[in-house]
Amino acid sequence: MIIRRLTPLALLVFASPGLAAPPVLAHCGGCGTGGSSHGVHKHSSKKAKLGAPAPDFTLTDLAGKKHDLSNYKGKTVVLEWFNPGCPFVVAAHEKDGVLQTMAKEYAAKGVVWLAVNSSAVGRQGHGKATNSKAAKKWKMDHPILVDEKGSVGKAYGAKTTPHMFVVNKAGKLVYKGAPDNAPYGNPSGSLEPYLANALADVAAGKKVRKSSTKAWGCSVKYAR
Amino acid sequence: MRAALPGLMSGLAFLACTASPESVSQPQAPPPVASEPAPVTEKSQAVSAPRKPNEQVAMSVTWAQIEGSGPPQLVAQLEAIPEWHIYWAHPGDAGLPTRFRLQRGAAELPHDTRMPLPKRMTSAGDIVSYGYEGKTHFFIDSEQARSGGEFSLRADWLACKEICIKGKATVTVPPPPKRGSQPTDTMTSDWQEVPKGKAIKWQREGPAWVLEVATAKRVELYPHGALQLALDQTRPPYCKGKRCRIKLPPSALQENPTLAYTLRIENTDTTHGLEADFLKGIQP
Repeated sequence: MIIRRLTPLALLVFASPGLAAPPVLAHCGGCGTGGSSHGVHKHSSKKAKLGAPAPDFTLTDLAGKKHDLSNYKGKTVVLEWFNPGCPFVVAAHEKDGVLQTMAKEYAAKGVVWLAVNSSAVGRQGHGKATNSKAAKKWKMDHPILVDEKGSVGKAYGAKTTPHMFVVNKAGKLVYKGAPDNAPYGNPSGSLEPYLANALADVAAGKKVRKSSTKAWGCSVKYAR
Repeated sequence: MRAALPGLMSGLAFLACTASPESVSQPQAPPPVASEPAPVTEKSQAVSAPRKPNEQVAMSVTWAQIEGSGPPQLVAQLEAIPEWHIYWAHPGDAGLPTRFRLQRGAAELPHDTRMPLPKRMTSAGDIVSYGYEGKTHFFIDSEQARSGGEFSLRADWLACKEICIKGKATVTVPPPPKRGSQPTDTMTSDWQEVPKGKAIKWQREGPAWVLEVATAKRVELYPHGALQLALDQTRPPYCKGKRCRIKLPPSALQENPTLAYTLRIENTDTTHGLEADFLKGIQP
């Protein structure tokens, strides 16, 4: 095999995630104009980008309550992509799992924790009964938001369950990736609690040191 | 009931194998870590465990004579049932690497697993994974395994279709014979697709790094963990035809000790793989 060298044309130009700075989240009062009642708001950032405002959305939880991300401005928000049928999610929420008690611990510190389920109709993890049963079994106090069209998941680039995102008090996305480096509780090397570290940095008002990590888990079951 | 493996494996090492799914689509407890290896039922006879109705993957292992005059090579064959797949060492956006563990008594035997080129699989939501369907051979190199008595070989995989099920199998492997079995055609084909290490130089082109490969057909780039993360903003295809083009943020070059990848190079009649590290191959 021959590898042919190409002539360099210009210096490498790098995009800086922090440069683009559209307005941070602002509550849109139900988005009667320019927005949609469910999913990502039309006036919001289309794709999540670290350091930029997190795409705003409105989703309904299992009890029928609407949640606008913008309503949580001023608070740190954790978004957890969720599928109760995914064995990685099961392992993370059951005994000794990384997510078993984390939401409760951080709720006590004022952090808002939202599970988002982007499983499409007819695919694994979809359905109120399935999710309600898991929420009860795993004693989840935080809401599970239904994103069956997948628009919010795709806007955030959610690939796996679990896939974690942290939005800071200013509404900017400051972390995306795995809860830790230990799928099924088996770390590759020494345990690195990525999400806890990111939340510690946010709480301390510091820049998140490791803002992007490789997520692990099942694929999000978007509509085909 | 046990079924005999193909005749090519007879007269050689072989083993009893237990495979078990560990998780299903409904919430369940994480699978137990330990499992008892099945005993060798008939040394030097090819045997396999019957596949239970709910199993997606079966394992068999043999010592094969992959390279004519070399020592026998330990080869694990994993066979997924139709429509299911298991994952490469670098599974991509989702999945879990297939892993092997060798133990003699309580002692872990160090080893190196060489996997053939995977298949690139995409699913809704621009989710890209790398894995294997059907029958795949994994080549396990362990000097310690070759030099002692019998040992156990455990495979752990994640089998996926619409849902994913974690599974494992453990076999007891006898010491290697003086000469391994004749490799099957699929084993030889998989061996030829095991990527070989190579230094590969990339060139800058505007904001991107570019590699052009002389091949009759096409080239694909499969990023390993750190490089995949760095490429998150520039989704595949990284390669079009015979040309690969990637953009990396400066942080990727500064923060990562390695940015490894595998190239799949397809010619008219053959496919082969090269393994390289971007950081060692960019133009100074």
